[in-house]
Amino acid sequence: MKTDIHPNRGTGRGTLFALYAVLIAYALITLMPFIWMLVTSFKEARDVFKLPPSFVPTKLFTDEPFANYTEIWTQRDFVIFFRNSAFVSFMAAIGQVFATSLAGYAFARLDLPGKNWLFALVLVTAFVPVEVTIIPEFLIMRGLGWIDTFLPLIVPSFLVGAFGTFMLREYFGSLPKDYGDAAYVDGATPFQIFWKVYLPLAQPALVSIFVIAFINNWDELLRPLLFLNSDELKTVPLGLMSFVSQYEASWTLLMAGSVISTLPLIVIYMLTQRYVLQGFVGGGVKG
Amino acid sequence: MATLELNKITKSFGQTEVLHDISLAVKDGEFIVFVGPSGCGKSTLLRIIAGLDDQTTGQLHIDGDEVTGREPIERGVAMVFQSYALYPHLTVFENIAFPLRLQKLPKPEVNSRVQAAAQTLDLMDRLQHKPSQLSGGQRQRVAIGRAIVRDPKLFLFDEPLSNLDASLRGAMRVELSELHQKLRTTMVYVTHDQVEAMTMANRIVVLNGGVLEQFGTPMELYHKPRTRFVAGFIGQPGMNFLRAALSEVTDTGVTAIASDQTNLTAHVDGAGQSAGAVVELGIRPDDLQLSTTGDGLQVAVRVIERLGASTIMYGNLHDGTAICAALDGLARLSPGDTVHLTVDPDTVHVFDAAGLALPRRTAPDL
Repeated sequence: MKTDIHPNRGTGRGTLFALYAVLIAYALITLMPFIWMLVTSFKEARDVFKLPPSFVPTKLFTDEPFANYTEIWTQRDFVIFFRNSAFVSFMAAIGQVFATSLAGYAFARLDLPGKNWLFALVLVTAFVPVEVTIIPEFLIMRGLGWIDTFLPLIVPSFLVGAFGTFMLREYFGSLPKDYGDAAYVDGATPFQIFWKVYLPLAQPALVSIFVIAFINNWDELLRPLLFLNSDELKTVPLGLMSFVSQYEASWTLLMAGSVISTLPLIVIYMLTQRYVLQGFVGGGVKG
Repeated sequence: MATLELNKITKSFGQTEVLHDISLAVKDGEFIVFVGPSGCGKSTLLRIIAGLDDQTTGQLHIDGDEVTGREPIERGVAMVFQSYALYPHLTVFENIAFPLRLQKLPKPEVNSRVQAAAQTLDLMDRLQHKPSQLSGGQRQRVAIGRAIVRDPKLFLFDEPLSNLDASLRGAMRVELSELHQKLRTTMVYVTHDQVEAMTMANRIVVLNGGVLEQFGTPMELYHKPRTRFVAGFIGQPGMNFLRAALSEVTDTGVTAIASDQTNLTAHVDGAGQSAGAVVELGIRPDDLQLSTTGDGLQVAVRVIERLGASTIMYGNLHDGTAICAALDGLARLSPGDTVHLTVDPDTVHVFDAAGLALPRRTAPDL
């Protein structure tokens, strides 16, 4: 079958218009929660539940347009939450890169008996919801005396990561075997082959895993809620929770905090977008 | 520099034996080429020599030392891969320096050895480039640089020219031959291209289906092929084969009736053969001449290829047997013509029913 290498050729203007209309509609639907969050963060508290709903950022037209942001940044402990989240997320993401690169490489390249069964076992863990394992995990952490420390949020990331292991196994598997053979003939040990040859070539996949792990840990609520008690150890999601209590909720502050908490993720993604795309496309190494 | 000795090497994958009892001895400083069709086991044999794969049985000696089971680095071998296996994230300098850095050599020594290799391979102005910025020929040279910088006892090349275009391949063949003359190091080279084998090798190992068919100089293989396979594989254009039955066996040779009923004489040793035996006659295209008397094989011309110095003619005998002849460049022929071709009995090869060649009585002095 002949494949058209110019897929746009012959596409009529009507089809193109319809395609763009669908894409724009999809983009708007996807962006709507973010837009609503952004607009609400610039509203007066009384305007949040106004009917019919309004997209007018009423606070922008007052003397203090950024009052919601100023309040959470100066009068709440948001700087501390930010610092805690950044530390925990960074360390956990490093842990994921460390653990999954070693595991992914071993599953892809090393000749280990029963490795396919072992790999299947690792994959199965991805299908177990965190709520199922959280109680035994809590008991282990309590047994280790790690409650109210960052360790329960960081250490497990150094031990396992099903998605990252899967992704890196595929990535390492797609890199030419000849690189390893050439290094082996030149006298490299298995670890040197991993460290000096394959790991640098897996940079896009490693960056992708780092970004995904960072985002997941930044957004994590359940585990920090269980493992952290002290106010000075709270992370951003826990900080955001403090805006919602049993009897009242500061929605405008919550939305302003949510906007701020989203910004680092957007920046990180924008900076690493090229690598992330490469990482997901696969290991097409041009040598 | 080193000798290489393979002693009854076999290799099996599960129940399937892919290399059968390979024994050969390579002299110090020789350029040996393993040649054969795809899947014949030549790359597997090279990987066994490199230490990348283990043989199932047999022994391997490099420079007299038994190296079976030893790591590649302990064998003193360097290998150039078909894909070149250049590390894309490293510069040319770092690629060449890679094995030296693994040996933890001092920086000045690494620098001087890389510079020397780059000088030899004309890569001085490319040292800071990445492999993706190089042409195919330059990448090839970097891969060779990474091998020579280690000063190994034995060079192994796994089809290193197969990714290059025809003209560059020709140029690189000459460069590799010159490099061998310069280094005088033992080299083992794998290719499926018999032209590469003929032009570069001191001696050629012809493999077929995991069996060593013949080990000899290019001229021995061309003029004295031991089997029908070697006769057909070596030589460009390939040898013509005619089914025939022996009609007479004498002290000077044999006479056979070819499938088109033409009588052909071959000066071979017919000992053990008798009239009526079914054989195949092998005639090199270069050994066929246009007959001016109407004798010899009658051929209907199908295609003519004009190469300037020679004219390649493709045709058929009247029983349909395909015939190729390399004739004079000025031969006046056209498709559709009928011509007669003769052959000197000294140049006719005869293969018995098992595909083994009957020894030639008048082969050129090699």
